[in-house]
Amino acid sequence: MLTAKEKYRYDRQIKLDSIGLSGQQKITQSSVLVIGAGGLGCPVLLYLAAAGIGKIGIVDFDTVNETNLHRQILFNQNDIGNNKAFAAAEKIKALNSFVEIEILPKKLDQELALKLIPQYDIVVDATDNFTTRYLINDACVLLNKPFVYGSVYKTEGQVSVFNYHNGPTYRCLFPKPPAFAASCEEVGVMGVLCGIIGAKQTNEVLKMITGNGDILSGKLEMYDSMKASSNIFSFERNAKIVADNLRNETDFLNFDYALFCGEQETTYSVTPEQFRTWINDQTVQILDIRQEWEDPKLDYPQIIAMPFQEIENAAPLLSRDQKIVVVCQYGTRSSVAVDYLRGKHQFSNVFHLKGGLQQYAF
Amino acid sequence: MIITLKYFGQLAEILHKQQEEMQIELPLSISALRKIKETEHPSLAKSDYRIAVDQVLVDDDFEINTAAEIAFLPPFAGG
Repeated sequence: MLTAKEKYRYDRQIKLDSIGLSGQQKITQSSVLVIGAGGLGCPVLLYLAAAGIGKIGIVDFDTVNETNLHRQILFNQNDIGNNKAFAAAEKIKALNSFVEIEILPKKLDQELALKLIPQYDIVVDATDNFTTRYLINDACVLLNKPFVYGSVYKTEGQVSVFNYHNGPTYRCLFPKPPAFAASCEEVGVMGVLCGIIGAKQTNEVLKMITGNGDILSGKLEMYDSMKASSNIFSFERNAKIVADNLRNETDFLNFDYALFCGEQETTYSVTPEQFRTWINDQTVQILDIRQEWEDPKLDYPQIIAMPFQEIENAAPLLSRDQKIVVVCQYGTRSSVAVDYLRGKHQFSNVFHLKGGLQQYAF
Repeated sequence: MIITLKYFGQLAEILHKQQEEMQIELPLSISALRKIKETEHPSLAKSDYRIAVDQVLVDDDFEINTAAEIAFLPPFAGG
């Protein structure tokens, strides 16, 4: 039963016909596991805690840095350098002391997923990578839990609910991870968009808990903040895909998600030191696949500049008799590009700069 | 027949447009449509995306029979 203090605190939502005392009680008795306390996780955590969710788990291994602050609204300048799960917990504890919080300053792996997910009613995917997303999907299917998905790209966002009452899964929507998808770190993102998408995710969580409205199960909402418009696309559960990817616990634990999602760095790499020697000897051709606006620029005679998206156009311009080093800002895109040029265009002389130009002292 | 093609996220950047109309003889399978657009824009061939016809996701063997709105949907990564 709700205490008098709780009834007072949640009065404005209890007043809603769709919530009432029984709805608030359901919220108070529910538990939600939030994976990722970044751009999406921050607004999700704020609204879940404010609404009075009984127990919230926060998983994040990362630390707060200054470039997070334009969108990760739980954090302030004093949090820089601190773990996000701890920093987020401190803020939402101050917001609502009724909420029980479990802090997990760790990277989610299969073992942790199997241990944690059964303890919660709903999982929120607020991650920024496919490796963790496919892992969450498979764990939720195995453990029969719904999860609320959100993701952003620059000024657009996606929201959906997977595995809800045996509904479609993430794999039914996107069966395999893309060869390459840009992160916020690399392409940028509007801070407020994360707030909008995170709030939409939280809205789905609260509707599921209280049994209100229509759930975005089997529906992908595509939100475009520039047009202020949403398109909703429907899709079905693909029984074959679900069955083919349903692993028992042992197989799930042994599945290599990083490899599956192509996040394994190419073995064809050069260190910044080696790269410098090649530059000094002028024996190398450089392919810079960053966007035009990414700085600093390299000063070298043999540079081909071609953004990653247009790498196909770069292939005919590259030398087959000379070493080629592909460079980008952080060494993520270049790793994918090297595997692509070697695989699709049979270049045997192409390498990527480990760590990207951020690691290269000019 | 004229069909409308809509591109989302990074696909709109690859094609330098969010929407276009295409005059084409129907029926047209999704795989044939993919081939046409990927030949025009080789970078699209490297991208992974699903296609929806009139707001419903369909597989590659689906045939477009009437004037429809076709959406090209990539997965997003950011969070």
